Amino acid sequence: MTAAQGGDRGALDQLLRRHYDRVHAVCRRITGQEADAADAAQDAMIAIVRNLDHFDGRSSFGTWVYRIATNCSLDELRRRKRRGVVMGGEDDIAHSDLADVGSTVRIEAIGDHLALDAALRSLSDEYRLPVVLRDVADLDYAEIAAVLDLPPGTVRSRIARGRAALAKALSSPAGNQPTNPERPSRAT
Amino acid sequence: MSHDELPLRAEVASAYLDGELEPDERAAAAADPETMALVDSLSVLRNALADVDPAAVSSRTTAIAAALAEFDARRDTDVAVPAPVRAPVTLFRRHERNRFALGAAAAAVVLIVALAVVNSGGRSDLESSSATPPAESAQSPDSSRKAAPAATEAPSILATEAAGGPEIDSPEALRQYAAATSAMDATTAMPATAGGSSATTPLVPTTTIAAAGTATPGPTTDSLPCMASNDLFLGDITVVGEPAYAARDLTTGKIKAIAAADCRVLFTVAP
Repeated sequence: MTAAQGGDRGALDQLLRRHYDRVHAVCRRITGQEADAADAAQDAMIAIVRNLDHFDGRSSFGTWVYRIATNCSLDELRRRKRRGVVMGGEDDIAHSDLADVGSTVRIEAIGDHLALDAALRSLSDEYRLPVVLRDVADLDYAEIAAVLDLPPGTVRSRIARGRAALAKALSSPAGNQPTNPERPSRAT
Repeated sequence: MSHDELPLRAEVASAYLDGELEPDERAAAAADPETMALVDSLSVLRNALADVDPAAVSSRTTAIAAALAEFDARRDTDVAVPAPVRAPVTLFRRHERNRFALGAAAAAVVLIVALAVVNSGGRSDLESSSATPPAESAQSPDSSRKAAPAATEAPSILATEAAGGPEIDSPEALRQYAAATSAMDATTAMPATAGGSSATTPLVPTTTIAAAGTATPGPTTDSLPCMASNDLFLGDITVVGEPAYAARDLTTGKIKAIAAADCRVLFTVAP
């Protein structure tokens, strides 16, 4: 990263390649669509280059990158809204009754990825973003708090609520039936 | 329990999964089968969320290429002498005598033509046959340039504003445009002026060009915004419908597409 900041093009190339897949994954989960995710990820790569000189090391580089990826994804969602594309359910499932989630929700497998996308779309940004940054970007609560400018306690509660809402949505018979149990796991 | 409350067990399970519990909290959670069952469910959810299909190779390649193009463009902009974005900078400094001689020749041609039209209804009596009309002496091959400047204006090879030229939609197209421009420049030498001075010298930037930001006084028709002191203007182009300039960085040889509206370097390509 230091070399990239110093103008080393090769170092920058390596840096971008190293972070692209995770950036894309975050964008994919936030935007919910591959086309939008590709656009957002490209915007994020460009924004990284434009702002590389401004990275001062106060946070980790990964945290800084995911903040950019999150913002680019949100920008893409706003553009989608302006295009009039239907976003999904208007009712935020995180605000539904989750009183029973502690005792009744059981998920053994999630085979229907479309259902997962649909459930994510039903989650508002305030809950979807912290869940994605935790479970996709693997940031800890402090890092997520830095990315989203939230207190760590709020991050903890929103992640918990977001997960609970998703788990409840996916634990219904329709969402919990593995449609392709032989689907290979993602290559790392 | 109100609809807004999340069961404590759910929050504990979530924090347990993330390793965010204090040791005693963690121990208490581990001892609760209901909590651990919920941890297992949330773990399945987390694995599914993380299981994102990788981006298409083309998307990956395009994104990184776009970012590197941005890096190249910003680096080239930084190499140029810093200048206010819209400060006019004289691109070339021709020999002073050549410039004024050319202007005088152009004015003479216009006057002669006007007199001829008035006197004889069209009989042209050009006496300064060596003075090619300035519009035709332009070295710029940009055929999409606006109509030649008004006859009374001093001749200028350069447009004072991007009129919108050929559509350039990629760095490769820009490279080809620059190559074509250079080829035409080589075959369209500036004619001798009526002034008799050695005006056949092709236009070249000199090392005495004033640094950008310290605009050299001179005829404004030779000035073009967005050009740095080591830039060679190649022609007006259009990039994604946006008026722009093509220019060659004489220090690096790279060719740039520069937005006319705000002087952004849109992209850069090696020659």
